[in-house]
Amino acid sequence: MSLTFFLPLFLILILIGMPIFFAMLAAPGSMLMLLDMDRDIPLLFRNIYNGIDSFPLMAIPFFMLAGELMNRGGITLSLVHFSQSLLGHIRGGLAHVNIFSSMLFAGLSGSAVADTSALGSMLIPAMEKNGYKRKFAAAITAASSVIGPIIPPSGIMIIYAYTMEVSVAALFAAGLVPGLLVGVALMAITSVMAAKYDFPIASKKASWRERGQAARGAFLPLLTPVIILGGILGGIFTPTEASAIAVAYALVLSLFITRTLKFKELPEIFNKAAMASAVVLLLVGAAIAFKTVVSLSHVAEDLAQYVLGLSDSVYMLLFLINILLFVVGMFLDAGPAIIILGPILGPVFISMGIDPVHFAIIMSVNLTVGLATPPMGLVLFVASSVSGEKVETISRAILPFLAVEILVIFLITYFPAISMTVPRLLGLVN
Amino acid sequence: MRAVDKALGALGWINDQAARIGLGIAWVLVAVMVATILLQVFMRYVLNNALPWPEEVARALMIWMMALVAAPALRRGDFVAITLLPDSLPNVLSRLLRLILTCVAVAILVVLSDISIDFFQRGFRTRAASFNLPRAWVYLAMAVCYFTMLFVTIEMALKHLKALFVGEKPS
Repeated sequence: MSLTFFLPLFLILILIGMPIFFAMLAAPGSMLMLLDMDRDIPLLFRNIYNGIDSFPLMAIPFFMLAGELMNRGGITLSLVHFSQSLLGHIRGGLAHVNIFSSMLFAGLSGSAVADTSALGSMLIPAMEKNGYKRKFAAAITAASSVIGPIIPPSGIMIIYAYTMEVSVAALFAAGLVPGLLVGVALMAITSVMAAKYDFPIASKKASWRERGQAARGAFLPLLTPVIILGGILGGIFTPTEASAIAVAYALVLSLFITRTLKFKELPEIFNKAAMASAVVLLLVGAAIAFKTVVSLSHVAEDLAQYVLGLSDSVYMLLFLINILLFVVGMFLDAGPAIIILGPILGPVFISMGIDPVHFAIIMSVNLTVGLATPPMGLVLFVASSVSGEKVETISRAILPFLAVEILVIFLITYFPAISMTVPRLLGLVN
Repeated sequence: MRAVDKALGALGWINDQAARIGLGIAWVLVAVMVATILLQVFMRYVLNNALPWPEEVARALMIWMMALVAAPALRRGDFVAITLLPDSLPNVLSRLLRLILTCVAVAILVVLSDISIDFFQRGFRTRAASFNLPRAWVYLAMAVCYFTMLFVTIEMALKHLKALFVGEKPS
């Protein structure tokens, strides 16, 4: 028996329902014990700590907090108003408003779940009242919410950057065009469906004056992505500093300007972000510990040999890896999936000449779309709880949108320029 | 079964208190973390005079924040797992499986808690790089984290055990 067995053991443990944090420690830990390598167990412990004790990771609790504050601060409402003033008059107006608001929201928040719950609770009832089927409204909310972690800031990309030692700024820059592409593709299929099924128009065409008013309302919230991205991509702030500034900005906005948030609500909101990030931090720590055993065991090299043996063509291997990631994404959240698979798959493809940033985007976009795929897509469950529609029903209604998103995944895979142009222009990659 | 009930009552109380204290402190730590980083941004970009300590202090605060809320998060079921199999098994098998999985988690946390005490004690030998305290006071967070998580998993294991015998739906 060799150390390599911990990988199958790990797979079995997560498939039978063990929380991933524990599985990531149980599998390598028990193999070390069986092989009389007990002395390395404190090393495993130490690596969890070292993995968590990180300044770049602090951006995770801060971006979560900023998103939560924006959400409670009535900012969602002003984004939706702005979207509606632009798109409400076209056929399928509210469906387009839903997608466009997700794109705007994505610049403020790095989480698909926050997007679904914030926009869904407002737009699903509004769409139903306007004559859409509720399952369609829930499906489009879930499908468009995956733009959240693709357009920066993005929790998933911070995790990827940290576990895989890639620049966060480069990943943020690289996610910009793919995120917009997903949004545009969703709007394109919505237009086709709107013409075919005669979707309703939401409102009469807004005058430029009304649009100007709506834009003024959305101006301050929409300054957030400008500050965050401008600061990070311009090399002024580190992502962690930018995330702290985003928190401060959101606090000022919602406490003093929109005044929709009260001081006494803050402890609960802060704790919500603390709990959500504690889970992620422990998972990242366990992943770093897991990674040390991966490197002790040469399992990555064995796996690389195996993958390379499957086909000579990089294109074919990228196709296969996308299928694998998609299947994994059906069952597992994007964050944990990246933590588990990144260290194993990343080096294989990078050694074949795929740019680390390009591979990061392929993996992130694919697994993010997985958040909206049945049977275990996280945002499907959130969409179900905000709409009251069954997960099964939403799962069927979302299929056309998923088809479009799969198409985008392959475009991103085979046309590196889609993700690489912006970071190249900014000098963040060679 | 009465002994299990008593133990559950006691553990439930301990875990409630730990969560109450943890959540009472954690949000303050988050607020101080934000303030510390903002101070550093101000010092660095406005006064051009970066301080040596904010990053290390903020990291220590983050570790304590995590340690204090990890157990309540675990208790609430926030730890990600693929529950397709336990959800689709017949009742008795599902409870048995959940019990076994929770027992493995207990075992892991026993090992981690044990090492964390040693880790804490060794921490007195090194001092933080930028402020005058032994690292042990940061390392202590890991002991708090794992011990509180251990208590939560023992409570969960007893609940599953009880459900297995009494036939209640595990919460």
